[in-house]
Amino acid sequence: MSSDLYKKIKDIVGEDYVTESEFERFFYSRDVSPIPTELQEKWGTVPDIVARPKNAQEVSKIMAVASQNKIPIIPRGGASWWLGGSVPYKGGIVLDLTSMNNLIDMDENNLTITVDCGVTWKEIEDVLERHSYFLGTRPGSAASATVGGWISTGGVGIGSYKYGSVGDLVRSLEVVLPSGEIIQTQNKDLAGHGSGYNLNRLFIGSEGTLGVITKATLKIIPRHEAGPYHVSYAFSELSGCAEAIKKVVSSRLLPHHIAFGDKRHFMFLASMGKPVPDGEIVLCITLEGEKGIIDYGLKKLDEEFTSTGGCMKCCDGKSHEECEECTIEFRGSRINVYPVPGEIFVGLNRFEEALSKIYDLFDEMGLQAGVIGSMVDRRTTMIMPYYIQEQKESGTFMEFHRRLGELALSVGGRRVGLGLFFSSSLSHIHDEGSVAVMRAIKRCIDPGNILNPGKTVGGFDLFASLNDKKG
Amino acid sequence: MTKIPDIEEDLLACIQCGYCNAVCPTYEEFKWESASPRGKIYFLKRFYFLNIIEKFIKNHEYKQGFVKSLYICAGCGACNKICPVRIELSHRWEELKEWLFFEGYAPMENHKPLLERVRGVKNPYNEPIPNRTNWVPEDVKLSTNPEILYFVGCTESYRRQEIASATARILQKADVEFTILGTFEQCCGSPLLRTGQTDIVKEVLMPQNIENMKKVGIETVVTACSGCFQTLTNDYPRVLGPLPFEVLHISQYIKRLLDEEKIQFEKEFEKKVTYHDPCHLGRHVGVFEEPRRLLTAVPGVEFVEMPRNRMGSRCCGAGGGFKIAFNDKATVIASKRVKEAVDTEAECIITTCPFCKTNLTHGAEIMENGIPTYDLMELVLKVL
Repeated sequence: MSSDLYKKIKDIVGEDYVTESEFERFFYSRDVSPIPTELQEKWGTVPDIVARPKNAQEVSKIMAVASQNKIPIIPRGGASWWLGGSVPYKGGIVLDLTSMNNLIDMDENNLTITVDCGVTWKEIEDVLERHSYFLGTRPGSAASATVGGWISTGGVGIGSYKYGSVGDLVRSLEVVLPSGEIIQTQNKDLAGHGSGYNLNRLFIGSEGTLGVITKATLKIIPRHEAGPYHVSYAFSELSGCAEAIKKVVSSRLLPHHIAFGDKRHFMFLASMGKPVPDGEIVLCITLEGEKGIIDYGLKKLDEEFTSTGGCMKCCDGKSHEECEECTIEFRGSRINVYPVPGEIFVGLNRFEEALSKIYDLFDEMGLQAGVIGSMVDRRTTMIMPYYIQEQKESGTFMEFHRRLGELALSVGGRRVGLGLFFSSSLSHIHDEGSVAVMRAIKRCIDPGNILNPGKTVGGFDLFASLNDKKG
Repeated sequence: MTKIPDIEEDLLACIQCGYCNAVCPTYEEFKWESASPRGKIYFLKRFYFLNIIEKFIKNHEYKQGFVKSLYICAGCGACNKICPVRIELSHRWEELKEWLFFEGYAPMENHKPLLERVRGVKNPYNEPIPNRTNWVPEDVKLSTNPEILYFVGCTESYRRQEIASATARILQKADVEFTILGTFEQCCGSPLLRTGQTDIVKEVLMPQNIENMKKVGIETVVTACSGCFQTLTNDYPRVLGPLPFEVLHISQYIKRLLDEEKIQFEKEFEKKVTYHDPCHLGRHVGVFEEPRRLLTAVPGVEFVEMPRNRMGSRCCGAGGGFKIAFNDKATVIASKRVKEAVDTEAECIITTCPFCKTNLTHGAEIMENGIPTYDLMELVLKVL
């Protein structure tokens, strides 16, 4: 027997684009993170219905039905995030937006590309590359991450050091509001400065709690003349590495990407037969830009790095092993293990302190683990500690993430992204007034709290609920 | 109960990144997560450590759903190549299908006749055994003292006979002494292996085919079917150990003749053409360059690549028993591939696999401005 809700959604999207089968719904109950089965049940991460709308109009109609019936809507892209942002909390309708992936419209006059929300970043890159353009920044998981997904997480990625976060790529968004109304956040052909509230920034990083992003217009840049050119240095002391990064960020040189991987990371890779560079930490720099920048950059880096104890590992410019392993972090998962990632922002001035606390955390929890990361801008380090665990003991996941979040706060940093798991962290990251403003915005745009409830500004302390269970 | 294939390591290694979904042509037509490579792994992750069969017995929907999900795969292997942790996904599905076949839960209804037919008349098309040689043209003379054996395969014997006769005529024109197994030739086993019905493949088809080939006393076996070629190259040695002769795809063999100047492309073929890599020949065995070398050696041919080629080539949608179970979807996948060819402004598609030719032809029929597909052997014969 199909439910009334199912029939209503079916009338909107057509029979082939909606399901309430128990078998199919089960596949939409998680993202990348290994949520233990019992918690999936406790939190209600299995949706009641999965729908695959084909355009903004269908999303709008579904939204109207959901508003009327107070049914949660959970927008879902490539589901390659790990904070539960696209999994339900207490059921609802998952909108699988990957069927909205037809439009890729490059406009060379206005230097933009307008794309459907379900297009992957890799698909955009491929189109742009054929015409000698690029976006500047890309998510590490470009092959599966969708436009709507990465914008909703407000992500940073490879190239953020030079070109900023995903938010800096966006010219305008088409968004379906919980009311069903479809809005265009900015003029697609002009910068949005001085035009009232910046609605782009409201939706970027809103984790699907304010509206469903259905299209995005992104700025495109002519491809650089030279590069990408990769060079790596090993440091025997963490302090030397930190010093080297400080020298680069305060220099005139503007690399495309600055990434690092620590000895534990490479030792772990060594168990798969990969070479281990000497030293405690390896720094990988990617250069690109106008002609001559590579020569200038290599000379500059060599001066700075050798003076801080660095030893050049590789400078043939190719995307070599160390560099790849620092950026495509999960190559490592091939030896019967499962790497569970964490992600925090820490100021460069407390980089060493953060790392040493992370090592203490690894030791205290008895984790086989490693650290990789990158510079997000001249001041902000993104540290991505990960640990290896047997699939079955997934309880460690929550403890690791809770303690990592606390650790970040203790060194003036914070976790990156909130999603389902860490919406209670909002009040640790921002002052009371700001949190109140955010919740007021949520109430104003989504008075029925139907869009991705429980996420971001939801404020549930899932850890507390876990402790209840134990008690 | 037979033992579930040992896939624990893969299940632990998979991080559910979804790169596989992005390149999967069959998932693209269904678009439900259950139909995707990542989805299949997720299902297995969840139930492997419990008992899948028990789940099946309790829940009919799970059984139907998962068995269908396993068959939503054309075996193209694009997922295997993009997987960051290198899981051989499409091969795992074959093993799981085999396991479920022996457990009595697979294959799908449409696949079941394949086994009965191959058991009976040694081909999946239910054609009489004596008709296997009907394609042999009168002007072709089989050698009594052959240098090579031409393994024709069921599809070229009974369905795409134009490829078989072109192949035979080319060999004859090049003065190659060759023969065929004739009515002793049996299905190579590919359609059964891909659909999990390995029943008679390992015990009967493989050893008997090899025994019959050995009797001919040759050192080289050639085939113009990419499906047979992959099966002889990859699956036979896996079961029987190294074969006592070399197995070549016809494109490799003709390339050899061309290099040794035993054959010359004299006539012109003045067309813009593109080449479609069959998955079984390309991604699964690694033969990419020989067909291209032949094509570019033809006078008058303007050769143009599709953006997705070689290791990154896009499947036509015919393989793995997918077309048998989901013909409409397979045809749509083919039409998308034809569209890629049309976009290069090619006037025709050249391929080297009878299944690709059939499916791409079907694909072209359901679209506007479709272009024809020919086998490379048809083209080569034209220009000799």
